[in-house]
Amino acid sequence: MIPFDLQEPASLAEAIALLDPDDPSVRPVAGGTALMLMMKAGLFQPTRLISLRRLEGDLRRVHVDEHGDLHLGALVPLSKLELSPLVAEHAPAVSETCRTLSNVRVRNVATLGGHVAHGDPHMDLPPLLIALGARARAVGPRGERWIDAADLFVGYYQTALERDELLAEIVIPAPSPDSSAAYVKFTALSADDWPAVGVAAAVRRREGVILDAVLAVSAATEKPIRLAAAEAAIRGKSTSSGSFDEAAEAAAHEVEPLADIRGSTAYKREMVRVHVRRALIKASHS
Amino acid sequence: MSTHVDAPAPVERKAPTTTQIGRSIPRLESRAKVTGEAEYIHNLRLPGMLYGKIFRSTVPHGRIVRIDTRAAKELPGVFAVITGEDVRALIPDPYYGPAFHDQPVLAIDKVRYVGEPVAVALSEDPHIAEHAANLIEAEYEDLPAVFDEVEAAAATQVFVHDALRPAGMFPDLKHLHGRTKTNVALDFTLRRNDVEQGFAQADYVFEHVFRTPTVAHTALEPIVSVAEPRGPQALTIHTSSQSPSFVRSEVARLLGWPENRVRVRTAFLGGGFGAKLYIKLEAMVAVLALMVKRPVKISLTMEEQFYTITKHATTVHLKTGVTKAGKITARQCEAWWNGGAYADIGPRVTQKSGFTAAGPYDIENVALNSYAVYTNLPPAGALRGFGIPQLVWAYESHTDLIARELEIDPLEFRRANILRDGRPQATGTIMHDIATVEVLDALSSAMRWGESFDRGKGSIRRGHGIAIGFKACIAPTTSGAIVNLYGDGSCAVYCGTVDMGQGSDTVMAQIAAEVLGLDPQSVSVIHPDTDVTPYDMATLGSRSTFHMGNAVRLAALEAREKLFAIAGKALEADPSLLTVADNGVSAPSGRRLSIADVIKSTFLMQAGNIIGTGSFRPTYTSPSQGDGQSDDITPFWMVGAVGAEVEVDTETGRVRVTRLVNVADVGTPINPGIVTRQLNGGALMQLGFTMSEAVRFDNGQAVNASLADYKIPGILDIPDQTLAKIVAGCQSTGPFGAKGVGETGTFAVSPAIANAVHDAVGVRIFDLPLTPETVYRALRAAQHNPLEDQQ
Amino acid sequence: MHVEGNILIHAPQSDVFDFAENVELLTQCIEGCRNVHELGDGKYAALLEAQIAFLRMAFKVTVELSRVERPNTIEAHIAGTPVNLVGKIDARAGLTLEPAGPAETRVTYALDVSLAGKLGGMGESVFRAKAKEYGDRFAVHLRDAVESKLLEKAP
Repeated sequence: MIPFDLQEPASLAEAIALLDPDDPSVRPVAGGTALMLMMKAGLFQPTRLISLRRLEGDLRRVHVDEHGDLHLGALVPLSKLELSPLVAEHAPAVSETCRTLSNVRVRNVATLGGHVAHGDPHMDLPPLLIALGARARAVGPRGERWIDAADLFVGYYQTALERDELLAEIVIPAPSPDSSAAYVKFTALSADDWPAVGVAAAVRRREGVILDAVLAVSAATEKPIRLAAAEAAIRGKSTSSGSFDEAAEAAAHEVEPLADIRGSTAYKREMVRVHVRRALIKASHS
Repeated sequence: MSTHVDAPAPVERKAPTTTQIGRSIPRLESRAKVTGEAEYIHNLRLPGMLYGKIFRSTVPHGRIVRIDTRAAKELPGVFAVITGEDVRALIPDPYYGPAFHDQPVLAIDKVRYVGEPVAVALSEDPHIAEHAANLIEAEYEDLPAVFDEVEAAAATQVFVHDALRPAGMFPDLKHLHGRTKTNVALDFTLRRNDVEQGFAQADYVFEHVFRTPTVAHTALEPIVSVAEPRGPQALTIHTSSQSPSFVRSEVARLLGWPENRVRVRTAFLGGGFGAKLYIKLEAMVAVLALMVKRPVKISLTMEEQFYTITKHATTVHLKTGVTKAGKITARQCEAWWNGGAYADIGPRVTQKSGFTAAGPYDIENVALNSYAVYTNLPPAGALRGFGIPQLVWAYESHTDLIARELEIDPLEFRRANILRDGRPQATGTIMHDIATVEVLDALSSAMRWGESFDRGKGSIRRGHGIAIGFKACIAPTTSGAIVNLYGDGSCAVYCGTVDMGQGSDTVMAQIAAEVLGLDPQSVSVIHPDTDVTPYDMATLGSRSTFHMGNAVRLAALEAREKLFAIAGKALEADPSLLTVADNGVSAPSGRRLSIADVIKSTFLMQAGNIIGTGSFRPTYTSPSQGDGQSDDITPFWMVGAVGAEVEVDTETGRVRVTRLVNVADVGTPINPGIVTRQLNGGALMQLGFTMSEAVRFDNGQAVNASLADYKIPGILDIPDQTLAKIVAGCQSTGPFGAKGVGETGTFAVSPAIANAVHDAVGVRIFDLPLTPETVYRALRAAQHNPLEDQQ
Repeated sequence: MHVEGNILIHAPQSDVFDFAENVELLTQCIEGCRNVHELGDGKYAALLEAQIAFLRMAFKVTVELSRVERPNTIEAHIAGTPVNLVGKIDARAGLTLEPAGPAETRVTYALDVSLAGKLGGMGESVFRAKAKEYGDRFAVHLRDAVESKLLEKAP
């Protein structure tokens, strides 16, 4: 590893001021579980790292506001999400997803903000955040702005965040009483492998009919994406599994999976099909 | 003074007391390991020490045109940058290896695989060394490369080596010297009776081809070595090695020195599994340290281990003749071993495992051919089973297919053909102390074989399968040991066995304690140090409990004889009637002295030593050239059978092993707790090689050389039930009836699981690993709806 | 790894061919390819700066046309090493030109890339994901460059 400059600002404003919009080798780091691997491999050679470890306050908080929206600070470690009673109550699918997200050592260190802002398509929470209609609050030198989770992921390791912006929090809107969500992941090698396919589904249903659904896939594709055709195929249909097959079929057609050591394009397409159906079943029975 | 014995070991003068044998005492080093006090070479720092970082080849086969080290040398903090040409200036012929002297310390003239060491940058700061290695540039003239073992064996144009260079240590390799225009390093042949006649007698003949991929050891402590010059004429090498004695003689040979000027020592190893055998980094650090006159340390990363040593990929072609009644009449086997660019111990794997390729069956007519093949991939060597799991994968998948075709229960088919105690194996060696039948019986009851079985429902289908494998222990090899009683009656065992997590320290202490009437927890085991501990061939191939266990036992017996001689005077008793227990010596009269007091009675104060030495080398007849026949091929046999229950998700192809039962003949276990954990550890390691592990190559480059992409089993992959059943037998020549166990748990795991998958969903997988996509594609093909890859 | 794709260019096949067989013009269509200069014998040296999200890599490469068969086929061989990192990139890029109308050409590209060293051992998945994107952007740049050149030529 080549020596680099490490800054440890004490405030969010200070941290933002240390970022450099023109230099991709200046990078914020929270838990460092992903970035350090890239640095050790020599793939990423930073000139400056801005450690966020001294930042306090809402960035580390989980709370529910007066509208019932769930606020998750960007520096909340994944293990805190996993164990938080508030998260379990307001977004049980998030708690459940965290239990098999990496391992306990990583979850104790990795943060929600890093997990999202790293932009690795294999992460588990991004498709679920898309399905739950979450929004991200980004803070930069020009103030703050909100980005829908569905617009946050723009490519492999690429997000809609500007280089001089930091993620401050993720907000999951209060669930309506008729909605439920689920995330299913499929690992092709060991059980704790990166997912080969991850599918999140959120459905609103009334009297056995799906009013609407949001479906998102990750890992098989170069970024987490919404499955618009599959969502359309399920809208207004019954919650019987037969109608899920149509959505699964539509999903298989609309994705362009990337081949890698975890599976060929053709195989991953089949796994998208299977897991869209399984995610819908799980979401509509939870 | 020394007791040198050609097996069998001598009969004891007295009936053994068995207070320490068969006891599952805790491991001696447990506390040190959990508190972080245990010594590992990884933590060693010496004054003035330099760190080396290796610059590696990026082409699979190429002529070195130019190596530019200028930018690296100019980097501030860089002490030196060394290339193969620099090494050649010190050692004219710097090639090493246990079977062939084919591997250069650093590449010379040619590189033969992606990842081969080409140069080393040295600095007091490991980060500077790493940066400097990244600044080295090399230009290669690309040569055509060969990667597949079957293609490489048949190649007529592309040769990894210009000429074969057998090491000369093994007589059966001598005829290969200087052979050119071939990638076949060794061609082992075994013929028993007439295989063609056997096929003619058969009602059916079955042929199948099975493959296994390259896999990696992934020891949690990566390979590490430190060389410390003691002036220009002597060296100490601190190394995470399983074979310190070999390192000493091979480094001495390279330097042209007598062995007594090279001292090699080890500490605990964080796993070895065969990766840390023979020469890995030791020759490199030795040469570098002598050149720069400073201690030099090289520690590999996990990624670099993938470029250093792997387990052979194989292609195995089997052909079997069988009667309608299910009697095997003939078996023919051709096995190709992908040895990578350097032979390492591959030719031994080819021969020592090759002769068991027909399986643990009583077959009249056998023809075996086993080829060690050079390719342009990282070198392959020993990995927990020494080639046996690859062969068992083939012959037990094949055997199951035959039983299915004949509609005979797979367990009954095996029972009908099993090789029994007293019958000749394919080499002609008569089987002794081998519990094949008992192992099958125990497997049958553990699996509740023949009883009703839940086949699953919906997209989850259940199946069960079995397999059995066997292995000969490597021969001929030697172990020596010293047992030292100090003036206060405390005891140390000096032995070259490396405790790499298998619990050998504890077992050696139990053996010495048993003979000397001591508490094994009080015995200290001196770790390998070639200036101190006697010669030991290596810690490999499940040989230590048997070989070193015998040597320690003999050394302890000799020490006890001396103790009794002294005690006889002090206790006024006939030495031959004395006994030991609880740190003391007792006479028939009832008089008793502590061991400390016995020693004091002769040295007149707390002083002196009582030293016993032992050396053990079993008998051996090397197989004859041409037909591979031998009347004494191995000191003992290991037998392991596995039963597996699986669930197959027919929508994804994912296989979950729900129950894994390992049944093993281990002779008399000295520490049943350790034996059980060895069996389970071996089984779970092989579970990874069965389900998910494979090093994937793209034009010779390993593309998943990290634990992020090369997936070993995690805790969630462990079967709900993982059981090890010990079939208690007795190895009559072993120490207190024990035989080796380190590899037995691996033998039959892979085919048992594939056989269970076949039972569950009716498809046969011929190539490991059983990834979901592999199984899914087989399911689709069986439905006549193959998965198409559109562009 | 292998990626391929195609693009429709509004230009006659011969114009596209003329453009593509000129290494200096062709390399302008590869993102991050700069300092192209001829080494002789049809070989060119160049610096290839690839930016994959926040990962920035520079390669010293040589480019040569390994096959030029008018009017359909052009193949290039690009080989090089990353700067400050042990590794190797070896790419074979093939362009197939087919007429798709009176003044239209369908260009199919096929890219075979092998990586060695750190890039191959650790970075393979991201490179694999990005190769297709790079290829498609190359095709767009090629189309735009050929079409704008044609416009320049137009009276």
